[in-house]
Amino acid sequence: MEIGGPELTRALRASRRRQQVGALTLVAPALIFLIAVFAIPLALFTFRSVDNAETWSVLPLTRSALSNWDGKDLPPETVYAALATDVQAIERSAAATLGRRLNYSEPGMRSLIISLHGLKLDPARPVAAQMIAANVRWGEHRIWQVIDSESGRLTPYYALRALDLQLADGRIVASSSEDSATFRSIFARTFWISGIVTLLCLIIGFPVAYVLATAKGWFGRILFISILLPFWTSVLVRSMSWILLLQQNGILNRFLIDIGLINAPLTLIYNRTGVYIAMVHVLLPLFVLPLYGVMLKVDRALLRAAASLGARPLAVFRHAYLPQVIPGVMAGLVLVFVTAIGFYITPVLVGGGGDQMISYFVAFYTNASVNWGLAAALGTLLLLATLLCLGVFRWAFGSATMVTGR
Amino acid sequence: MTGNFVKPCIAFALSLALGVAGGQASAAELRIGGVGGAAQAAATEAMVKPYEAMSGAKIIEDEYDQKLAEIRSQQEAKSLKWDIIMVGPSIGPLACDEGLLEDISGKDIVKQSDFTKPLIPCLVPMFSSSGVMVYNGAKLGDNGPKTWADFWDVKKFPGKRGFYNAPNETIELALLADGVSTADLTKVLTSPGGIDRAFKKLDELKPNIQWWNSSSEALQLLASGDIAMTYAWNGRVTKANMDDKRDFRIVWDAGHLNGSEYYAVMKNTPNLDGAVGFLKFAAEAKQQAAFTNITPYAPLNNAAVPLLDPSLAEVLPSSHMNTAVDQDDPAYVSFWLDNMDNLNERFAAWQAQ
Amino acid sequence: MKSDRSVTMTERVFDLGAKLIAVLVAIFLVTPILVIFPLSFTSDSLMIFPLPGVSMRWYVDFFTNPVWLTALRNSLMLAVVTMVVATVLGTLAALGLVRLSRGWRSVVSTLLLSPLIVPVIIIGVGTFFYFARLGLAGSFFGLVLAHTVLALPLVVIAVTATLEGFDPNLVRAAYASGASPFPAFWHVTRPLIMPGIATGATFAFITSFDEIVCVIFLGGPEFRTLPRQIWSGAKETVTPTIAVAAVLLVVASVVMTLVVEALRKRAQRLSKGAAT
Repeated sequence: MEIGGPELTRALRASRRRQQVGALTLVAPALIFLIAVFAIPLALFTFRSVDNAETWSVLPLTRSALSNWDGKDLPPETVYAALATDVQAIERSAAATLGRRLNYSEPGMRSLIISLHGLKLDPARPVAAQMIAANVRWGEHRIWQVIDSESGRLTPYYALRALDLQLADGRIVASSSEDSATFRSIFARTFWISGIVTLLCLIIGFPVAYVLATAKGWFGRILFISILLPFWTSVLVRSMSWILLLQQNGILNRFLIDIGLINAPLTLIYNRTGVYIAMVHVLLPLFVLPLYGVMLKVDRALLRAAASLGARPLAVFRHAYLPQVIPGVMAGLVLVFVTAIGFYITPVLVGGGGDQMISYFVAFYTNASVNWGLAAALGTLLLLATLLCLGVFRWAFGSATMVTGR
Repeated sequence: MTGNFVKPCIAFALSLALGVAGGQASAAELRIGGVGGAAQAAATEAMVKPYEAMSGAKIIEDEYDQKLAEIRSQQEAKSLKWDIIMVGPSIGPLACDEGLLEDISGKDIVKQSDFTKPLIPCLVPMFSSSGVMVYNGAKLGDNGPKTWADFWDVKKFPGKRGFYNAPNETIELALLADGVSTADLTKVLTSPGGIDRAFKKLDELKPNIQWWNSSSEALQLLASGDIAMTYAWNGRVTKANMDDKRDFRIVWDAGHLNGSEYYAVMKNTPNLDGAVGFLKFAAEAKQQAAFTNITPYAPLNNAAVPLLDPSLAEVLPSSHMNTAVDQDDPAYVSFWLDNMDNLNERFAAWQAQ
Repeated sequence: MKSDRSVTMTERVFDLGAKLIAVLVAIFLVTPILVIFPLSFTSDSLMIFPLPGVSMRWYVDFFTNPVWLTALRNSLMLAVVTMVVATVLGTLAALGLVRLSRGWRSVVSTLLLSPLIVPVIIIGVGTFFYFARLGLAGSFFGLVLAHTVLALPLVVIAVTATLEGFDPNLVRAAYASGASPFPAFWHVTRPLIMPGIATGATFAFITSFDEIVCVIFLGGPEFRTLPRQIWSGAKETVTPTIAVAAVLLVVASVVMTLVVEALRKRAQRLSKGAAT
């Protein structure tokens, strides 16, 4: 191969290029698929946290009429007329959506907009007077301020709200509304629960991975299967089973009472304890399996050498064994933590109201409150937190070890 | 050998995929979003199955948590899961007000003369349901709670309390426990400070509350002893006593929340005619009575009353209206029209604290 | 390590301690999965231990109830179609991936594996918003797409793992002897990576079969899957029929764990054979 002139080099380069093109062609369908069904939805999801389409797209006339308003007194008749025209031009359900959107900024906007949608206006008389006659709040300066500030293409409202902040007179201040969830404390709770679960996985999982890596014969095989089986069993089924085990009259409480360890049943579920137990159960295999892989590759000769040089077992462990498995431990910890902060199913099934994590609120604002902007803002923050954890890990340990299941 | 495995797999997958595509194309299909549990089971037996047999239509039943958001979400996503939906008090009128339901007042489905309460344009009244206090007679016997104040008293009656996981039908109970009479409830609720008063009262009980999402779940918790007493809907309770030989006792005299449940048609459904056809059938007195005889919620159609099993009288809400809070009262309905959204979010925030 | 008796003693204590922990953890891991088996045979309508009696009534209920049967059929259908789509895309991608130069490879593999690190709730809600726009929310097709996103990285991992295990010289030898790329793939690469593909396909199947979060947001009423039925059950109407459904999911997982184990052994054997 070494012999040969520039022709051969060129031919080699061409063949390598051909190989690269061929390889990219093979990868292309999967990449295109992921861009279309994963990357684009994700980007749009993130965009929704600043998107103001609900007001922007339905209030074109109002927007242009408001551009001539100086913001000092009540807006002129043209603005009233434009808003009435805009609102009455859309369907009732769209008007309700608009009202709900504005209601986030100013309570009472929902019924104002909905009643404006159904208001019969006499074209011969001024619209402003008729609207104020129907509801005096149309004569409030504050109402028009809100409509003016919320009619832009983008809004900072959701992102701020997700951080317990709000905009007041152009400045960012702490949120005051009692309706707003205390999202900062929910993020803190999410990290706290995930941290505890990760720590528990480390304490329990390390010896298990060690035994798994050293055990032989039927013991090793049974142990391996008893870790692999939960790994591939539905999270839903596992969380549900914990309900049956831990509930007041469940198997564990009955067992403990029967053997005389306790007199009254313990409260083990629908609280934090239940969440910890079930989450550790779900995530433990995720910690053990990669660590097991690393432990298998540990250089035994090095350990023997250290021991034969007279090192005590603890010293062998600390100076010869631990350095070899630390990358595996770290990979497992990051994997568990990052997966834990996105948990949804398990806390819903085995936790109480005070144990729900951020995913619950993403789902809540999607399904139970239909405040999709806020759901997107919370989800985007969760995504950023996830990426931040992984980024820090990659920066510290390189990218090689992150290839394990969910 | 592997090739022999892969080929049938692909063929199978293709046939399944084609089967799905074919299934969705059929037009006579009618999709119903029900309230789940015993009420829906009764509707299946008394209305859905007979209608399928009679008309040849195919009905797919689904269930949801009886929250307005589900309806909004489907309309907002422009992907309707259902043609017909069962809605409860305050949710039904609210959805109608927001234009999420079809106005079917001109479709001649029900006659005002058959009903005591005024009809609402989008809604077909189905049955009257009461949210009641329940305890397990097998555990507490005759010495159970008598009032909502007792329900709040965890010293006298230790154990957790079950509540519907929503602000509506929860803050009302807090006010009842705080000494408000059933007659004054709506007045206090709608007056300034009423909501704060309810949340303050709920704070007292918060560590002892177990939230549930369906009354079946509530009764499961009650039977297993996870909760000592609960709020639940009357028909499901009586049904559990009848079918599973439970001794769940309803405390009617403590006060209960009584309101109408309705069928409604989702706005812009592609199958409006099919939906109206089903609703006409379901609203008939015969089907209404059959429904109540299976799961004892009271019929709203007065023509159905003579067809009822007389032994059910005692367990129907209609026999206990003197202690009821009327959820169909316009003042009560308009309170929830204005406050459902902010109370939903305030409630979620309060729960998560 | 046998050189020093005291070391052996301490080691033994540590060893025994670790083994004890491992056994306890194994019990902790397996009990919740096994507990639903007896519960599915209860004769009562509420799920309480001890069983008031043993009966098959909930199995009869499951296999005669059209709602559950439809859910089972839907789940199978969804999982099979997802499996086929994800396996085809994932295998092609893995074949390309191992041939890419190092720089390209790290970029492309990050992209291919990224669905694994994004919280499922975000994938679920994100695709829901997106599909709602496209009119795909609540459709079978939409669910296949979302599940393929979740399953694709697993196929890529499984196939890449076996591809890296076998000797590319064999393929090159086939090319050199005049075989065109496709027969070379069919006769040389395919048999060798078949265990990887089968493992990937199994991963894809079970991922879709068990999946619940995307189904919550994307599934319509005409397409209720088994996990979706269990979910509404576990939150709402709890019956032992749910335990029967859960038993089916667990059985699927047991079968798949065994299949993957067998395939892993076979892949080891093949790659050893190819290397020598």
